[in-house]
Amino acid sequence: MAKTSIKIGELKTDIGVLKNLEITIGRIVRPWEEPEGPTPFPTVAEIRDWDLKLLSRYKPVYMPFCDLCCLCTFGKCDLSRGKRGVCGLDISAQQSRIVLLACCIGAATHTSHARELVEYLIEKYGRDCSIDLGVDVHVEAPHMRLVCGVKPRTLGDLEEVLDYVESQIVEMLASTHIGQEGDSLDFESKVFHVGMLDHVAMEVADIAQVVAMGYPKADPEAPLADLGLAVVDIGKPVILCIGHNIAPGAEIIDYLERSGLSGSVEVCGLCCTAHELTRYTRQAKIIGPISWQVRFVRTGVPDVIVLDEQCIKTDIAEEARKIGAVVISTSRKAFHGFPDKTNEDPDKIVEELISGIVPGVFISDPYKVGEVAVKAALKIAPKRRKYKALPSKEQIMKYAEKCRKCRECERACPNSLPISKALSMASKGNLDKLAELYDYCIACLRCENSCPMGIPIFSLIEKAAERKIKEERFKIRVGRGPIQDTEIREVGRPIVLGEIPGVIAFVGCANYAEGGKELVEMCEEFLKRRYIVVVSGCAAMTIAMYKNEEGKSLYEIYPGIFDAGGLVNVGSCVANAHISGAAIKIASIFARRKLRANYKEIADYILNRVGACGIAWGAMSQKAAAIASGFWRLGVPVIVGPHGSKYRRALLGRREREEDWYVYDAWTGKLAYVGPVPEHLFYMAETKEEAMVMAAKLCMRASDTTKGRAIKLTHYADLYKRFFGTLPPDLHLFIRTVADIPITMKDEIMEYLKQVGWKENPMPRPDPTLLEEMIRRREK
Amino acid sequence: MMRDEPWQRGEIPGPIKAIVLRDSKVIASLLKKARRPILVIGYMVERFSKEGVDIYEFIVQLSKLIDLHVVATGRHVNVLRERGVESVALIPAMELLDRISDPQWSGLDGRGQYDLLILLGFPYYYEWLILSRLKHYAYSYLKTLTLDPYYHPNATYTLVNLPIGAWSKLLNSVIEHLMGR
Repeated sequence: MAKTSIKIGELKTDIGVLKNLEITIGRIVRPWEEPEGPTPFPTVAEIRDWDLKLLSRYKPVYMPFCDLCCLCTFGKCDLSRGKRGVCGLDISAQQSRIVLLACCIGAATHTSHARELVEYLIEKYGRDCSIDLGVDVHVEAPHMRLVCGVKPRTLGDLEEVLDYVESQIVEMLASTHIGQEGDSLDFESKVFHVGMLDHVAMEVADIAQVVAMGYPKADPEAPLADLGLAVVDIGKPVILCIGHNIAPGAEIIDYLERSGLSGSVEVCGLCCTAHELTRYTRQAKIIGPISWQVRFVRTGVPDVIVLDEQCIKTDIAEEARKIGAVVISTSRKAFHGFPDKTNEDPDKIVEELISGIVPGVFISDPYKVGEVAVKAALKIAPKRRKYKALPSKEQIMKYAEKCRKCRECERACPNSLPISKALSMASKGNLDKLAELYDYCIACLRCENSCPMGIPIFSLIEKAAERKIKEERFKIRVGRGPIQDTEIREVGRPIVLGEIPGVIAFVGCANYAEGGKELVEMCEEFLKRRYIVVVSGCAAMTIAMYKNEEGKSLYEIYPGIFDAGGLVNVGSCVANAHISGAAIKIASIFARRKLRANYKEIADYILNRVGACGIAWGAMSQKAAAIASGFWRLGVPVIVGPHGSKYRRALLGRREREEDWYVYDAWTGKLAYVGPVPEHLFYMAETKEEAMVMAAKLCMRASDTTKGRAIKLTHYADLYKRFFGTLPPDLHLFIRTVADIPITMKDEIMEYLKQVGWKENPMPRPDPTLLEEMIRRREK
Repeated sequence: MMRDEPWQRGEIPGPIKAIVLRDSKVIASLLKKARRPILVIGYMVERFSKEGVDIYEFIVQLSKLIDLHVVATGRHVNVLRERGVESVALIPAMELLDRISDPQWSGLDGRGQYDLLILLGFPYYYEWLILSRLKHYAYSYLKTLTLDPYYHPNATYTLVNLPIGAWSKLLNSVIEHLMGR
């Protein structure tokens, strides 16, 4: 399916001569054995009834972030306690409107990223570059098939998909304007719609780069890469790439190879660009997740910093200036105030950077970025040796003595870390408390910005933790991209029947309330319990950052297969589409449901059958909001950490409302009670223990066999008991028949069931669906 | 520091702000007057405990002196049980929030909604949002009181930002008043 253009320079006919004739045919439908389903390229209206079904079970619980609305000049309007603004919106609608705005920002960002990538790759590899993800991946684009009804064959085919996504995002964004949507649930439905679009856009971006750039293709044995602050050889010039778009980084690698300089310059990445670099080349290294930006720059190590797009700390150019590094911005979305040098001679640009005439430049041509970055790094590195050091202990003590104990730093700190106390101890020469903060600090610099004495607090923390930093050497498995069809075939049955207790996806950013180690502990717990654990983005990096007693990270201990006990790193943020894509592929490959433009049926299948749950423990961005929304519409619950409460609302089920937990039995059309499975769709956990227990619970599904349910209940009850000392008080709601009871806890659970007056469910395992159209025949 | 402004500087809500309580006698009186109070304890009590405040003892005493329901939201439930608060229920904060902001909810004992929610020991921003929901959606039947050493603008009643030592003294003084001393 593609846009096709025909150009004719001169055409002589009986009626005249036509010059420069150009014909474009918008859409050619290529043959595809699967018949088209009901919702190709859907608008929000076509999936709205599904959204409202979800939202009637999982009701929004709003936690207003602000009592006011200040989006138009009628305002500010006070929306507190039931008041409405001039436009008519109440506080519930306003919260959902802001959520929709955030998701539009997130989805637009992924879509714009995808568009830039596709344009770049088409220019470099041609419109006909084949979408070939290897022999083990036949369902190459589950989202594009499901949502658009499109089976892409070439890079060129992706353009039409992006046209659709862009037009829909604009429509959704328009609905947030004053005087448009007025109902909170319809705003929520639009949030789901944008989430669905977001996953399509992410799939476009990742598939395009995987097929064109030679990334691992669904390879469970993708190589291990180095990660950490200490993996960089500081004896060499260092280029640091920050962001998400591979194009400039790839051109740097290519230039080094073309010039015979491979190995003489260190190329490392931060945030998702780091994932992409290691998928592209074995030469690159990963520094760490998003919160490592300032950590690394403050070490003074990078000579040249190349910024592409998304999640870049926007004052990073200022940080670079302090260490004498030069900056190259490369995205029209983020000039950072630098002059546009795209059309200038590379050597002249390098001279201007090295001489300090400009602190940074904007170059939109990735090819030129490759040359300028390498030449600048080679020239500036020898001049920058003096910057490659942290402050001395004496300097720390001197700074710490300036502290007036006003605690403004603690009031600015997102996690209220005890900075004043640590500074007080440091002023007396004891740096232990400062060093402790390193494990919990997200390097946001709000403490420094608020300090009336101008103490560079984060630099002091970093210096105090210097020994830890020198040991920051870890291994991460390179992002493998999609899940193989063969893997899905192997695990589809045990997942749907419940015999693999669940698929847990650790995704999202690094805004952790209690440090990254909690994420590693959660991940390891589910790996030991033989869940399938899938990871991506900054979470995938954090998970690499702790070693066991033998000095191994989880990636070195657990295999990269999509199977019980596997730790699967799919890659960067945009690779999240492969996680939701795996759930879609289970419906397609294992259950043989038709994918093509058949969204509601597949989402209904996943909600009722695929025991999966996402944990975005440090989610902070608008992109993360959009990603989560895409999972919700597909029926996959998401848990966030305590900072995720700032997304303003949860989507919670109520287990005691029995009427909410009925489904149709697709065989008979009868209504059947299946219990609160999954109980919530979007949940903010306060602690890691709560998150683990909840994740185990949210993997239960209506289709679980008795054996599968017993396995899932074993994990739920065991985790609950371990952390909280008793059996879960809602356990009886998940036991349909005696056969569901875990054998190892049978006596204890039977006793408990007697106490609560439990009765067997007369219809324990229907063929569950929420969709009337899925009922095969109706029994009276 | 002892001022009625949000502890985390950016957490400014809007026109409706909390009533500040500085007097332990007033706090004790408020607790005594409540018809159906519920105390909800977050995991940050562990942090307070490490800083030398015997916060668990305060909770034990409070639960003896006032007829209230006690809820813990996490692993600290085990400490409370060990310390003798046997009736403590474990309910995750979000699930409790959903129910307590529903006027139809019948409470932990089936006897109806509560009229006073007392919060203690949550991350500042998390508690801020919990209180925000209750301020907007449960104001007609529920008052909220936070006993954390911070000014919480979204509560009905709040303390000011307090150093840990002064806070500890204030809590002890509340217990003294409840004991009638």
